[in-house]
Amino acid sequence: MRPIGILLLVFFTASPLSAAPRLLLGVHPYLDEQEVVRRFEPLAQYISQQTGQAVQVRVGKNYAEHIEVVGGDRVDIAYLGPSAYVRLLKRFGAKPILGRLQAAGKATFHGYIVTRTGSDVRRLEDLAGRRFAFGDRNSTMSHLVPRYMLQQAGVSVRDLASYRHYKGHNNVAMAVLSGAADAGAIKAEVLEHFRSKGLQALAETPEISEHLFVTRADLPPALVQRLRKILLDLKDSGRIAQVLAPIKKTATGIVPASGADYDNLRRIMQQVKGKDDH
Amino acid sequence: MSEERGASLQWLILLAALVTLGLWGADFISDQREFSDREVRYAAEMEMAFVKEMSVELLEQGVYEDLDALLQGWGKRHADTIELRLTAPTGFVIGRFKRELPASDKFTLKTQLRYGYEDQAELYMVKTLDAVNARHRLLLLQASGAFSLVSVLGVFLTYAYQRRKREAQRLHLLSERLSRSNQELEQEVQRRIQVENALHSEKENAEVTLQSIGDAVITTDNAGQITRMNPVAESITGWTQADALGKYLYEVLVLQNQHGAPLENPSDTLLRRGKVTGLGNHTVLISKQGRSFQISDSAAPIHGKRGAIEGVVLVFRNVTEEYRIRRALEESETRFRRMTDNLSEHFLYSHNPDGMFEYVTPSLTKVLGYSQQEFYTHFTEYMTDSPVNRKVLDHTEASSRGIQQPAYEVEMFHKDGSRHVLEVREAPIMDENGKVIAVEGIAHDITKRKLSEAELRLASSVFEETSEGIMVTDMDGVIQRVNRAFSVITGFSESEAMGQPAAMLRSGRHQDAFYQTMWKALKETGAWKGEVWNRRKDGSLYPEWLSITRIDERLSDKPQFYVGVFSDISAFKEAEQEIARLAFHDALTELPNRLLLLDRLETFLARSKREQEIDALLFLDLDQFKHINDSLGHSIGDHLLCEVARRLKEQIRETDTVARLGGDEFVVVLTALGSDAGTATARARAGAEKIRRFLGQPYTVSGHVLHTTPSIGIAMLPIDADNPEDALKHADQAMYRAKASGRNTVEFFLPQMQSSAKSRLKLEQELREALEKDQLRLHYQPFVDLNFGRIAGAEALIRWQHPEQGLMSPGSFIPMAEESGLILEIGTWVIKQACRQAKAWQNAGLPACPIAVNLSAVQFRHRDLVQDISAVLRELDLDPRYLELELTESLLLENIQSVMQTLAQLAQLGIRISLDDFGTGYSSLSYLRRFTLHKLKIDRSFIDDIPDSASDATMTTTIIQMAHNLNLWVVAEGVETTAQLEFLKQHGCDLLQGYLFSKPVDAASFEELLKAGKALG
Repeated sequence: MRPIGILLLVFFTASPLSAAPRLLLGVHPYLDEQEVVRRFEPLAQYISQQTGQAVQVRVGKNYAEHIEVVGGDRVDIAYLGPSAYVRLLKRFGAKPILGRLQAAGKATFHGYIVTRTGSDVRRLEDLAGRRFAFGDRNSTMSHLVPRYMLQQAGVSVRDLASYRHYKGHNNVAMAVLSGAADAGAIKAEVLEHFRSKGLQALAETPEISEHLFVTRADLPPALVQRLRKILLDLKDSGRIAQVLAPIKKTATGIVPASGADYDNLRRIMQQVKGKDDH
Repeated sequence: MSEERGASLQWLILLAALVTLGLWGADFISDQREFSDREVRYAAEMEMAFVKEMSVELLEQGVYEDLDALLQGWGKRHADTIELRLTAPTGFVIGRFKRELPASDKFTLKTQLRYGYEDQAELYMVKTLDAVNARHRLLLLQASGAFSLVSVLGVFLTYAYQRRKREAQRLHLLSERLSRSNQELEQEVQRRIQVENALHSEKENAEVTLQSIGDAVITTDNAGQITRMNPVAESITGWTQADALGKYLYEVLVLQNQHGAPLENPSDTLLRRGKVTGLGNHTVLISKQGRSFQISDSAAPIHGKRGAIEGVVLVFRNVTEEYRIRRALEESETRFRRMTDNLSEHFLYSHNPDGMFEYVTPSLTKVLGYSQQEFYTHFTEYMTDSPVNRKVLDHTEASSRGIQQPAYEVEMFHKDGSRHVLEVREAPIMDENGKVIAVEGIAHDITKRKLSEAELRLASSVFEETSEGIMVTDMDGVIQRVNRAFSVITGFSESEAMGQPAAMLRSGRHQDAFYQTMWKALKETGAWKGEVWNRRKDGSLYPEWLSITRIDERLSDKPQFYVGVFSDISAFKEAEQEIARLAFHDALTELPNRLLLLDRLETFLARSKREQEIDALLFLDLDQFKHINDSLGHSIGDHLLCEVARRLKEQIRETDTVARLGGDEFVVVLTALGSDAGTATARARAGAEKIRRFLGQPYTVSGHVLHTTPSIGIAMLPIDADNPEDALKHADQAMYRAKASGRNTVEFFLPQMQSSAKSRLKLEQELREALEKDQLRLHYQPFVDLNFGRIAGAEALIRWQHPEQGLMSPGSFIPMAEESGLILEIGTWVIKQACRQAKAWQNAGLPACPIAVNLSAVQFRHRDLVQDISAVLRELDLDPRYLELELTESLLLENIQSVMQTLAQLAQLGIRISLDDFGTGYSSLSYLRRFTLHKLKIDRSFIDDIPDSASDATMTTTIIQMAHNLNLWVVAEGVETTAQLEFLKQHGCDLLQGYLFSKPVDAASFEELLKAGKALG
């Protein structure tokens, strides 16, 4: 009886020794699927070279499914936006963090609530009774954080004359420029692009931690350690342009991160959810 | 040579004919003439409208980025566009296209866009008047507009496609022909040069050749100066040989490419390179007179005898006509492509006789989602399932055998998996021998049409099946169509109704004004609804609820039809009347109810005031009715009420009114009793007395003989009251008076009654305050135990210490307390006070003395009774044995089940219950067994006359025996004489109560009695 039990145990727990298992790298569909695969392929190959394990990119069907898959430990490595990470944390608890993206030397980013130059809106409070342009509902910088800022200024979305979700930051900027909205929320680089066309900052968002890489909760700690080193080492490897730039043009590396780096966003999202929920 | 030329000419004629035919389809829309500025502008405006529409769409979606792309793309595709710009009112340029073009012939269009709630933008378009570009545009627009009718498009495209295919073949042939003729020319030139060389000396021969040749020939010397040209060359270049001789070739032969750029003269090239050379396909020759000819030519060197180049012979031909045909073909081809590319519901295809698809228009992708390649290779696999596959193959096979097939429908899969219904038309294409060389077809996606057909079928079956009648008339009200329900309701069949004026249904119950109003509403608002009385075929009238709507023709906005939808509301009407009857009549007796009475009183009062006639309002209340109801049940009571109602109706004149207000209250209004008050009063009394006597006759209901009498109060109208409410109130007060004066009497309202009613109200208010102000007292009357000769308990009796009227007995305020509901509070106070007293005496060390408290029916029925009492007992820590409850007999009979339950609960607490006033009611012995009782109190009316009255004595002794048999104690109340005492003692009565021992006394006095502990009597 006893030997058989042990035998079975060994049979079911032992990992096949034949080949190192393939690693799945999960990414949300922030562009169309093929494009996402194309952009992450260099990173997948880089990790593959370093670990000796094949790495395959898996693109989520949508943002929610991506979180679901990462939460259910169905991918080994995952790339997540900051708000997606907070949602993941809330629903599924912590996952080992490998590191966060650093862009142009910064591991955080920020955005602005913008108006047209010459607008009579001077403070956030003045936005009550005005029309506001948000970006995608899931967007950290064009929706969640600015919505929190409005709340903090005492302007709930119900106090706005109207608000609308536009597809992408550029359209938000153009909605404000064309007068369809009195103010809008966009990330910093979009403001820079449109500043000369007549856009100005009304308020700056807090710094939010950049996109990050996590692993599934039950990945062997040794492998997690190794993956972390591989990603963090990229910074000085001279291969940024080849491996990371496709993912984000301004990427300068992957730097250490902890859950605490996302605490401010977590509070913001809690607030936004808590109060005027649509 | 000439044979070849003949053939080529034949080809050209054939081609020209074909091309003309080919162009016919497009050309019937627009002439070959140039377009006027107005037309060009019109085309641009249409274009503008289209861009505007798309822009608004994108703006609505908030996709500003796409707008820029739209304008760019549009501008690029439309070559006559110089600028296209969309600007927000803020000045922000949302999108812009700009093309660098020479600034002639420009015109500008501007339009305002509105999107969102109040957002705007300005669309700005600059075009050139270039007619050629504009013409393309117009054609395209007209094509997309005028050809939108599917069938026309289908037929046209089938032809166009077949033609295109042939044209394409011809085109190919033509270009082959053209290039071949070039080669031929070259060969010929070579050959002629050889001949010329051979006949160098035979100049005349050469002359002849040159003159007769159908091509243009020019020769130069080796300096490039013209030495000779034949008549054909003269006619094309516009130069005579005489003028041209000695001129340089490039002066005479002015050549350009298709863009108008000068070309190097072939002879120069040849002289420079020494090789035979040909011209490109687009060479244009500008004649001396400035005309242009499309030419094809070649040049060859003329070699001298020693082999040196002595000159050049240039042979060319005017191919302007061929060129025009070719361009037209190309244009036609482009147009065809553009049209087929823009198709979204059709695709065209062709397959060979083996069923292999050879061509399909790209619009396939729009219809079925598949690419052309997928169609060629995987048609059967992906797009059809097997039964369909069979169908398609059968058709394909038949077509391939040259059999003309009718159009057929087939279901195919879209790449996204959805099913689409296609209508397919195929035609076999045969060669001159009747052999099928291809099958061509057009498939039309009719999924939407199918759906709308299904909707139409649904609408039609709804039309037929609905239970509401539907009638469609033309604008003159002539019936065009009716449904089945129409026939069911009106009795007119469809054939009988069709063509008839809708007015045939008129009942004649409505005035003309009614129909005028209806028509006015229809004309102004296009709708009317309301209730109409119509006539059925059998002549009967019926009310219907009718809703008429005007249906306007979609395309012309001209009113076309009226649709009337109606339902027979006869049943509803009847129900409505029934409801009205119910609302104004008492359901039990069917007499008018209070509402209707008040309404009639209003009328009576108005009339009596107007006509100086006096009316009398009689308010009747049946005496003892409650008793009958309680003891015999509601069913008997209800029968009695109906009987009373019947008798009342019998007693009055038609002009009078009988109403039931509820319960046992009736009202009779006797009208027109005269104008003199005295006479009227006498008549009212006589009438009332008659009613009183009549109602006082015995009733037989379900075998019971019942007696009831009315108490009647009378108010004279309008003397005693001038409004219905007061009239009722005053008669009611008079009725109370009648009750008070012993029932079964008639009383008139007197003004002082109102003040007594007022004083009752005041008293009620004071009683409320009495509780708060602690004005209530309990007095105690002892029970005496004859066996032991001592006080065995006390009955608590309530008194009210009124601040003005002094001590009041319960008879003067308890009935009022019961009416007003105050009894509950008072009852609770009594129980609590009694318990408190019992406890106080115990604590004072006095002999045990249970206190009996009277419970009113209201109190007893109150659901919290048991809980409240046990709470009091707990609170005071009083042994329940010291609280007794006294109930009246009638109370036991009301709801036996719940009474039994309450009594059992009280007994369980340990509380004793005694039955008060025993012998007065309908109590039977059998009842007593069923209740948990401890004592029986013989009513004082029996005691009063014992021992003198033999019957009362017998009654009393029987009660005592019976009670003892049931293990009950017996109490005799109202004992006042020693004779009574002796009798009761002798017959074993257990306890006595009465003035003989003590009247009810206050707590302090009672305490003295207890302390004295004396055996009374």
